[in-house]
Amino acid sequence: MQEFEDAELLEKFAQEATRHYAFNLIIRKYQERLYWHVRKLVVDHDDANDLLQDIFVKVWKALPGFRQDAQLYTWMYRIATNECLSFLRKKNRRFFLPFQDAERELSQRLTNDPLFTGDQLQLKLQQAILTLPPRQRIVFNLKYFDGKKYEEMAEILDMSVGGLKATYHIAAKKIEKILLEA
Amino acid sequence: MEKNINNESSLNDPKLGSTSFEVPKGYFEALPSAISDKIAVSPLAESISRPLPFRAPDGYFEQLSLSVQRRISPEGPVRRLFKPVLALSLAAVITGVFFLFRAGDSAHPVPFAMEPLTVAELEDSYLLFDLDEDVLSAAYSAQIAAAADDNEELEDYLIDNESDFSQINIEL
Repeated sequence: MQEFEDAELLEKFAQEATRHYAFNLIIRKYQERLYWHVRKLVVDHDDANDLLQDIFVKVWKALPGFRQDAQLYTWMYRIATNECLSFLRKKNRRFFLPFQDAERELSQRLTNDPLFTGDQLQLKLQQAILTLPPRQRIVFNLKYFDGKKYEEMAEILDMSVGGLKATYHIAAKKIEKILLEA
Repeated sequence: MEKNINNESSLNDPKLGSTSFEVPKGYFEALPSAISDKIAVSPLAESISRPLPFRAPDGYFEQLSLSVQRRISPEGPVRRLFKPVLALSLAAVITGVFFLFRAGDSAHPVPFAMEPLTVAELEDSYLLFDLDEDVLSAAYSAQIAAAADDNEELEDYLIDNESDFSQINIEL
């Protein structure tokens, strides 16, 4: 399947006749990258699926106003990240659970998840990541798994580079502690 | 002698190396980050392979686009809130209640303004077993949102900063 440049996609999206077609192409182009970004943060596939659909619906609604100050992907990444943050906060609030309880439940679910393909060590790492507060979890994932540069992360998360470095450092130290204790 | 001195001073010139060797573009800008990353990630975490240990269900990415397109189509999502039989029963009950009020107090008609059911009312009602999950979920969300509205920013801050959330809930 031919992959269009973002500029071409946005041009097609701007025209009424090709809007749905262009959006379909945008979904196909970015769905996997966004899915894995979301999945890393919420872990559960069903949650990731619901969120991803919501994210694309938001993108559909907001795209006519997209000013192209940032790249299309960075912009969508930012929407996805904010949706995830909001989801994680709501999830804790909805069930009136302490943060740790909600994550413990998710951690147990991970143990029996047929879509989890890692070994024991990877399971421990994921469980350790789940103990992090949402923003630390996002920063750690972006840096550790995606190898994102701090400058790029600063654009996505609207945080300073210094703040991101400190957050990553704290998150990595917590994970190290948990892994050593396990 | 003068020539030797000139040579010596040129050895101290920091630009000397740049004439003979080159580093990749942006190398020195990225170096501090690279070093701090090495320090921050523990050797144990470093030893764990980085590909994500998850997979998506088979065929998931082939149908995702269709699911999203269905939601954004001009007709909107097709959601069945009630089963047809249940919907008819509920409509009959509402109509019956409406006429009961009118017959009982025709001289002073009751303004027909339905307040949304509270969670307590829903829980006390036998309708709990017949209502669509979405109705219950919406009622719960509305009540929780109303209760939490003033404290939302505070809660976000606490969650982000890993505070003891259970203590805060008690006070709410």
